[in-house]
Amino acid sequence: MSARWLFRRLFDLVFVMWFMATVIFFLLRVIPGDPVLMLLGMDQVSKEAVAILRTEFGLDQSLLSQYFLWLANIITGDFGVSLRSGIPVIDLVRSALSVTFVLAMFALLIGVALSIPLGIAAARRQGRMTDLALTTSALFGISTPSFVLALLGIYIFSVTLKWLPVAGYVPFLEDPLEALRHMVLPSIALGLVSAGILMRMMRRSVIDESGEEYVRTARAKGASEFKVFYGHIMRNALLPYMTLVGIEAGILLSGTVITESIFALPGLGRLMIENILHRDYPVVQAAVFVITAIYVLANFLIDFLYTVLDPRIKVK
Amino acid sequence: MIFKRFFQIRIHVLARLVVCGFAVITMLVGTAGPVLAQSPSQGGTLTVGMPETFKGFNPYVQIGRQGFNVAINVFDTLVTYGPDYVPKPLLATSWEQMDPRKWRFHLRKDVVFHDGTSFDAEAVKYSLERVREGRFGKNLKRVTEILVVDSNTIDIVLSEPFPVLPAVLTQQFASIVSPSAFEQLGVDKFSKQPVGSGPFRFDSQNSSGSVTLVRNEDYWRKDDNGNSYPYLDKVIYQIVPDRQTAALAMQAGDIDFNYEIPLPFVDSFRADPNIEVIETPTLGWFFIFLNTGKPPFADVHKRRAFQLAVDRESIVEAILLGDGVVALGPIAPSSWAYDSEIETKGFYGPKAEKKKAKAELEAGGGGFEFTMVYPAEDPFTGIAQAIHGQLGDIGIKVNLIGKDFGGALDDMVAGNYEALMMDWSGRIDEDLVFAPYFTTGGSSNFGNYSNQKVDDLINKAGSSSNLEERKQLYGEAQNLIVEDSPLIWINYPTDRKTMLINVIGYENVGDYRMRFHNVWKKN
Repeated sequence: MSARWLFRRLFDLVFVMWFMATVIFFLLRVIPGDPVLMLLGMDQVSKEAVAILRTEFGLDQSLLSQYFLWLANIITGDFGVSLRSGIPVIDLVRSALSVTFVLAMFALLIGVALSIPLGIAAARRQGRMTDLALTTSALFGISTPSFVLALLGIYIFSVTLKWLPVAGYVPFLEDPLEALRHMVLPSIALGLVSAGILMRMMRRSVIDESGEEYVRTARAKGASEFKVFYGHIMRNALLPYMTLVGIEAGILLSGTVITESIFALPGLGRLMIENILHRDYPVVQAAVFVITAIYVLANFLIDFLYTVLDPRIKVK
Repeated sequence: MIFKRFFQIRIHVLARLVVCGFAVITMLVGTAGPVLAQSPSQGGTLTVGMPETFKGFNPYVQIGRQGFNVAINVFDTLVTYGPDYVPKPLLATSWEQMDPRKWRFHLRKDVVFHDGTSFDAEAVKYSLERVREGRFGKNLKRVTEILVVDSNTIDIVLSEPFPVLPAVLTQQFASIVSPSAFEQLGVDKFSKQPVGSGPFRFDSQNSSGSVTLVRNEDYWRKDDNGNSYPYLDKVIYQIVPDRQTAALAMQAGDIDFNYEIPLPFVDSFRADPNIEVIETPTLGWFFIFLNTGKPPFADVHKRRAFQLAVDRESIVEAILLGDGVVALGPIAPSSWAYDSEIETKGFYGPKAEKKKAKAELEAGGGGFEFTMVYPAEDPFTGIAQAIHGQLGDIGIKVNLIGKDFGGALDDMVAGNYEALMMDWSGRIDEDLVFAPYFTTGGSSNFGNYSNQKVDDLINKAGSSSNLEERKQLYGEAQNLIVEDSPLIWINYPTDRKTMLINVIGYENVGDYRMRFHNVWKKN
């Protein structure tokens, strides 16, 4: 890993983040809907009230001067305050990110833990009943929207059996056991969908790699089946799988609007949707900024992991 | 469904008769019989499902319905109201009009704020000054001076007669705060840690946004038996953004009380023996602004044709699943100004009047086409589609444009529409409805409606202190307005609260506010 490579990736990161931030800044202002009107609502809206608030929020200035002011502020780490609540945006994003992070990690863990063994099992019994059953279940997992799984889970485990709470969030530091209980259903609802997607990739990769010539060579050289499978096939099959895990991690970490809403988890997805609806510009801009950073960093990490899994891949 | 309601009512009546019968027998037998009236038990936690995160709790800024629902249990106001919406004492024991421009309020002497400081005239002056300089200041724009007469008396001096003042002081933006806490904490902190004199103290807000209130041990209000309010130890407002989850959480017993539930759940909740549904008509409307400032609705005949062609009864039954009451004009049946004469003599009725509508259409030059903006969410979308069909029947073509709520509000304020659907929650005094919506240049008159006669009637009613006279004047104004049809009224919606059956004592006023001082939980 050369310094030049690192520098280039860093430059990419900054460029992509700036680009996305700029796009979202102007997009938010192009779409109809005025934060001031949303704040005032039907009960208090009047032309005078609108004018006063626009000045207070600096929305009466030109678009370009608003943009440069905002850009200058984020360089100094100041993301501003929420128009609705007056709470510093950075606090809102940080607390939402911590919720989303926990949820994403649990979901990904379930996805990976299920997809690797099941994917291998399906590939090893390709074309047989086990394969058919597993791929069908995976398809079911992918095509069932997570909100269906979520509502079904709530109905069975919370309303009927009363084993788990319906919804809500408890921070881990406050009460680890309650926190876990609250995370079970949302993680499973999300994790099963990921498991479906990842399992199909695992199965495909193993099947593809098993037919490669180096596998035949290894067997011809008398390597044990264990060594052939875990030392050769799996090592290569994991490469495309890891890429997909990275993409899944990015998706999960950028917030899952529906799951977070159903389970009342105050994560990034909910923060985004609530504030887009209220046109709370500073919050949405900061949230998009963070999500972009997560994506870019996840990609960076995957690229790095490639070099570990396959030494032939060199970073240039 | 009507039959089902009918039977439910019958069962209620029967149950009441049985209970009354028992009560009479108990009285006759003497004290040896069982005590039938349930005495409230102290303690317990009430968990309330709320749909959105809170913006804060400073009553002088726009904290929305969500925030005000917490505020109403933390702060008291000088004046309050019950289901009849007539002002009645709270922190003020009485008030009188010294002259048309001066009101005197006498204050309670036994009230302390949650921080231990005393409530007095200085605190009222301080709080009302904050209202005047805050975002709701325009509601008190006629106030020129607030004078402390003595520690329990305050005078409010006005620039012009304003009989509605006591009604305005019932509103949450006129909450009385602890001046010392407000000064010490500053606006930002106070908004996160509000200090009032209400039945509950603000305890905390956790990282998921949920809020906990605890019992105010020093609260001054008592029930009829001399027990101190409130009964509950704690109220927890839990954020549950998904309404279906909130409904399921109640069925699972995780939530005791729900701020609102989706319409499709209502029937199953009514049938659930563990859940009570309380429905109270509100003063608000679902309605459509017609832009009278430009074609096609500059023409009164076209507006009237629209008004007459709408079949509200079928919209309320089919789209709103029986929610609320068909609206025949701006004055809702729960208002003191309501006159039931409108039900028989109104300009239009609950059903479409196609003949009359067609006659108006002819008078206005025949069929036409217009565009209607509506918030693309439930139940607006359904209403818009129904109206599309109903107007189509008489030869009016409606082009529908669904926007998100923000987009629709933009168009409304900019006057950038021909017809635009909205809803609002109403106001407790008709002056606060008629003046903004129907006077020329009124602050909510987004359809540019203007009628000199209507202006005169509204101004006269707004400066009169005689309730009967005001009722008559608003009635006259309503008749003129409905004939001019600057708005199309659809229904007066219902404020629907659901709770587990062990939650007792809740009174639903119909103003979307939840007051918990007299609520208790049966063990």
